[in-house]
Amino acid sequence: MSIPDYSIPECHGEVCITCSDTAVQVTVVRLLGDGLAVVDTGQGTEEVSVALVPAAVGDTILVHAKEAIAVVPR
Amino acid sequence: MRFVDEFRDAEKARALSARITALCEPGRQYKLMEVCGGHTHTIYKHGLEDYLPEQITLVHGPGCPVCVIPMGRVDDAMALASEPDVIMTSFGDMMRVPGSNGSFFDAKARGTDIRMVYSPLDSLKIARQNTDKRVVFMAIGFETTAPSTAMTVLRAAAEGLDNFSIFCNHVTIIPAIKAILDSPDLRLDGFIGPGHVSTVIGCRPYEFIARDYGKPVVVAGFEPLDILQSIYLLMLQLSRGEAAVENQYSRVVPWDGNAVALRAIGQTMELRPYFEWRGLGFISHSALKVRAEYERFDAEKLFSVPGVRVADPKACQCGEVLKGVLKPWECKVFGTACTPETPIGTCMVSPEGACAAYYNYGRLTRHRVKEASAS
Repeated sequence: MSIPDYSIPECHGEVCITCSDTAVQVTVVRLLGDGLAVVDTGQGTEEVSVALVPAAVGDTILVHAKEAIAVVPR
Repeated sequence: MRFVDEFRDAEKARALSARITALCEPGRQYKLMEVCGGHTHTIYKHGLEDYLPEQITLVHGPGCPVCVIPMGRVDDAMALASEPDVIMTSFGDMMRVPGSNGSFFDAKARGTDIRMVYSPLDSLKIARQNTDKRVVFMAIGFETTAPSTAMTVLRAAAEGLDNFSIFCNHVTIIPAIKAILDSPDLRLDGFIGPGHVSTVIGCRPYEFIARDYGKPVVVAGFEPLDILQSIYLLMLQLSRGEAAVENQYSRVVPWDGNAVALRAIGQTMELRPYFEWRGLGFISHSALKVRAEYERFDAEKLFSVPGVRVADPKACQCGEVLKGVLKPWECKVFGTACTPETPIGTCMVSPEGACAAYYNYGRLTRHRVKEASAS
């Protein structure tokens, strides 16, 4: 039996921000290559995909299901 | 906070409310549909109906991906999760959707390995860490979520992962809107268009609504003032006898959408000939499946899926609620047998669902209105 990996966050919130049409604004902190980036969510940092948007460090991006779908204009 | 405070200003809301009221023609009733469950949630959470004149009714649309998934697909997913060595991964909302033999949560309690994730990307991590298991991601959502699934399939292909697949239940919003427009049950005056779906697909796909059906559409953001301003723009068009597509959410919705995201979806997925929607029945070309080129990531090809159609519980009137024919509180089991803790229908499961949103936030407003009209 495999041991659950607690580094992968589980979804516990009142509103599941990822399953609906909701998206969250986060700030790009570091680009990791391979279309991934570390972002500041306001509550900590996490890794998301920026493969579908032209994101740069410092940009505010709109993220849904850990996939950035738009860059918010400054 | 930028993009939040300026969109929640009560003074501005009252000013918009007065301008909306001034546009109402005496004696005319207006029915406006907010297509997206995220908008439904905002409307109830912030009591926006209190800011609208009685002449305007907001009808809650089918834009909650969890709410429209038919029971048969939940049973199919449950069958997949019960296959040997399978780890099923799912978004949180989906976990409580009842199938004929309980929900994912019930199955998890019985020992089935079902894990909640925030994204398909997290499912990929689980697959990398459990090479002796077969990880199946329960892919649901509209065009907002499909890019994330598409990119995950592309990443899995690039990595050569052979223990990851998706059970694809992605749906597309345009055919559902068309089904509602063609439905004889409902006469709508205009649409509050989905915000983040439109970030991906843009505004052009809605043009047929204005052109062929003569109804205005305003793509709206998710803050209270976004929605009130969109209602104002709809009422302005209606007062002038116009029908056009407008973009209130232009700060993140480009008119042509996100071409890179659309390309990723098109590369990995294609339209199904038809798909069943709860409440709306079978709608042609309304859902996505994995393309043959990526079938090694398609759980429907890798496993045997029962594919049995299951009727909704008799007491459940989610169908009528999803089409906007019934208000949540008009359902026979609303708030009694069906609550967010023990949902019978999907509209009560997701916080984006009209019934759950109304149950959580809207009841007090209705009590106030009833008391006011009784006194």
